[in-house]
Parts: sequence; C-alpha cells; structure tokens
Amino acid sequence: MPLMLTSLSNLVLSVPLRPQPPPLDATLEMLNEWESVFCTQIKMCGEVLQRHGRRKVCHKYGNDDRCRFLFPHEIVEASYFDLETNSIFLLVRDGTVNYFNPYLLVFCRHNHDIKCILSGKAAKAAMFLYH
Amino acid sequence: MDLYPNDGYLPGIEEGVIHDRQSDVEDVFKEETAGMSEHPAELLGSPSETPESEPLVVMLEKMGVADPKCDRMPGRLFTAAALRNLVPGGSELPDLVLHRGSTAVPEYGNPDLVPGMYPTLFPTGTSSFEIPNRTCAISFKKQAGYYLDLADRSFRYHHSFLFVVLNIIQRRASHLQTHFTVQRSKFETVATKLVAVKSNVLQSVVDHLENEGKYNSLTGEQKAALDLLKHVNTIAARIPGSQAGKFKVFMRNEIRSYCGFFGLPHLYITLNLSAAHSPIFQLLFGDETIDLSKRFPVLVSARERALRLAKDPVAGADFFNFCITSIFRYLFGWDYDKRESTPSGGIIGKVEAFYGSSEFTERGILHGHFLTWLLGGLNPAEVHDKMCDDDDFQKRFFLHSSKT
Repeated sequence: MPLMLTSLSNLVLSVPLRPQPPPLDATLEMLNEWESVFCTQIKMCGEVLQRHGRRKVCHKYGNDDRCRFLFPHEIVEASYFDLETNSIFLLVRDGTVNYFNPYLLVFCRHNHDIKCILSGKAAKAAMFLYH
Repeated sequence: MDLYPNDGYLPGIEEGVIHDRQSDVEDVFKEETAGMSEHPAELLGSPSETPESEPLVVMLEKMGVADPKCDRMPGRLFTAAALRNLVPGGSELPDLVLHRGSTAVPEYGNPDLVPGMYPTLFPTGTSSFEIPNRTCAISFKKQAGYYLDLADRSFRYHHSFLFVVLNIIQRRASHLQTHFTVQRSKFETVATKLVAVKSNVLQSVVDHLENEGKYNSLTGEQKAALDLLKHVNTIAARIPGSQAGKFKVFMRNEIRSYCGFFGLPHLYITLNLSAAHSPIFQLLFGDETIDLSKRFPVLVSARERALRLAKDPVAGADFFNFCITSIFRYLFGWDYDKRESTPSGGIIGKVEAFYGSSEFTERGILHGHFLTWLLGGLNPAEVHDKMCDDDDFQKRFFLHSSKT
C-alpha cells in the first residue's frame, strides 16, 4: 500500500511547470487499482483485527449473561434519523465487527474502536465510562 | 546479638574468606559476564586511552567464599585458608562487604544509593543520581529517563532497576507534592492560623495520635492545631498509576474543563496497539533486519516477539508513543509544534483538540482512549435540529456515513 502512495505522489510532483493536461487515463487507472487493493486490505485487516469473537473476557466483572462490549451490534441496513426518538442510527452491516475507520485500519494495522458522539448520553458515557 | 556492632560489617568476616590464587581474574570475569556485547567495565581499559602502557583494568581482585556459620566449607579449604593467613598480605577483608547499620540508608540526597544497589549497572560507582554541586544540575526523573534511553540497554534489561527507580519517583511525588485545599470563604482565617502553628506543637500532636492518645488529653494549643486541620483537605499529589482513584478524578475534571471550553467531543476513539505483532516494535527493540519498506516485513516467531516485548518494556512504551503521535500527526493532521491542526487536516477533518489517556489492560498491554473535538463540529442537539428541519443536511450527513 505505501508503495502505491509513493508512486502516485511522485507522479503528481513530476508534472512540468508549464500547465499541461495530466495523463488522465493513467492516473485514473492507478487510482482505481489503488481503490481495489485498498478494499481487499480493509477486508483482510477487518477479519483479523476488528471481528469480535466470543471470548472469556466478554463475561468478566459479573457480565454473565451478556458480552460486556455489547456485541453483537444491531444490524442497521442503512443510516437513518428517527424523528420520534430524535436519534441517529449509522449503518451497521455486520454485528460482530467493531466500529472502525478504513484508513486507520489499513495504515496502522491494529485493533481500534471509533464512535461518533451523536447524543448527550453518548457523550457522558464516553467521558466517564473509560476515563 | 549484643556482640555485633550497630554499624559496620560482621566481625570476623575476614577469617571466613578463602583466597583463590589459582584462577585468573580476567578469565573468570570474562566467563561470568559473557554476553553479546562488551561489558561496560571493559571499556575502561580501552587501549586508545592508555597507549603503550598496561591496560587500566579496574576489577575486584579478591575472590573467595565467606561462610559465617563455617559449616558449609570442607575442612581442607579451611586449613588452606588458615595457612595462607600466615603469609602477611594487605587487608584481608573481601572487596564487597554487606554492611549493616542502625539507621536506614537515606533515600534523599544520597548519591551512593543507586550505584550501591546496582553495582553491575554502575561498575565504577560514578554517574550517580543527584550528585551535589554537579556543574549542570539534573533531576532524578530526567536522569532515570536518560539511562533508559542509552544505546547500551543494560538499564532497560535489568530486572529491577526500572521498578525501583519508578517507585522512588512515585514516592517522591507523594512526599513532596502533597498540599492542602480549603474553602474559599475560610481561606483568610485558616491560612493565618495555620502559618502561626508551631512545628513542635504539630509534632507533639502527631506523636500523641501515633501512640493512640485520646483527643481529650491534648493541651489547648494542640487541640486548636488539630481542629484547624478539620477545615482543610489534604490533597495527595497526582501520581499516575499508583493512586488510580485520585488520578481518575483529576482526569475527569480536566475532561470537564475541555468540554466547558470546546463543547461536547465529537469522536471517541480507542486505539489498541499490539507491540508484539508490529514490525515497528521489532525495529525499536533493535532488530535491524526488519525492512519497513516491505509491505509484509519478515518477523521472528510470535514466541520470540513476546519475549522481546517482555525483555524491553521501554521499547514497548516507545512504540506506543511513536504510533500514537504518528497517527495524530500524519493521519489526523495535527501539528504538535503549533498545537493546532495543519491547514489541510487529516482523514477525520480538522482536529480542534484531543484528550487522551493511556491504560494497561490486565494483560499489561498499553492502549489509549481519545476524546476528539473537530473544527466546525456540531453539538448533538444542533445535529438533531438540522436533521428535523433540513432534508438536504440529512442527505449530506448520511452520504459520508454510508460510504465504506
């Protein structure tokens, strides 16, 4: 992945000073290839690092009847806003995968969790649960 | 027991020492200290410093066994030792004698303390901590950090140096950074009274309470001093790691202040780094064969990687620090020097502020939690209002959240 990035930036840098149309097709092709490699990497890293299997640690501290990390997440087919409860639900395709950012996942290659704080309750939880 | 002096070494120890005159000092030294790299003591005799003369070797030359009870040595060794003792020689004391004393070894202002505890790390007994009148004064903490960052990793690999030094630093934090708080309304009266209390009165109160004396048997002056302390809260220093509870309260207050200033945070990020599997850690450990320009660098076995992490916890912490700063600098576009986002920002937009805390899992793996504020980010209530009123906003909002 980093190799692709370098070649791309070299190409951008080597554009001559006098304005000339860049070789669009070549750039586009490279971008498409980059995109496809990136998608494969997301899947690979996601399976290894972000998928949550049922483990003993889930039921520590008296959480006997449920996973303390609240897995599996509820599937959300498409992101939506619920007017009645005044809350936002973001897309969840797979209930056993930790919330992640694709760039963070592929470039850093470690497990992480990223959450949008979209309600006052979520903010309080984030401020006091872990800290 | 009365026969033993209060201070000094055990009497008669020199009689239990048997001198070994057969083994060669240098050979034994080499055998005992065999390792991958040169022993620090060998550098002392470096030929470049003492050309054309005998290499200057500073070594402990008297070897032997001491057995105060005299029941584990074969008789012929004793006879041999006794015969040798007939031959006059210099001091018959061994080179290393464990002294005993009636008072504890002082922890403050005692440059001999750490080299005394770790003769293998300080083979010449110099370069200690807190040497008085050092040309350039250096704090205990800073010097400890410096020793752990030396190219020679003896200090990192030592099984207890790290822990003892951290313990000293934490104890000092609790000794020297404890302070009092008092209600603002009572500050003036309490402060003047507190300053007026004589230290010998306080000492007598302390003695009295330590000996489980009753409150009523205190004198008026003593009572007044004790009553004064009721208006005052003792605040222990924030000692990371040791008093987790108090430190947590301190962090919560800091987060509250951040929220007061920046509003509610927008993102809550947990970064769960794995040093044991990372090629970057292997390089920090000192494995120069790792080629980081490869997409999949070749690593040693998982067992070996775990052993490396256990051996060099300093490299583990360096790895954590390096990764976190890299993520914020290069992926999130944070300029550490200017303490603000770079003009172009990063993969989550422009960061306005972030607050992080590092924790150990119960397995001893470092991980970090970060609250992040984004420039131009909205409060959840504002987001909800816009969702209700503005269909276009809703569309744009979900456009980004459904892209994977």
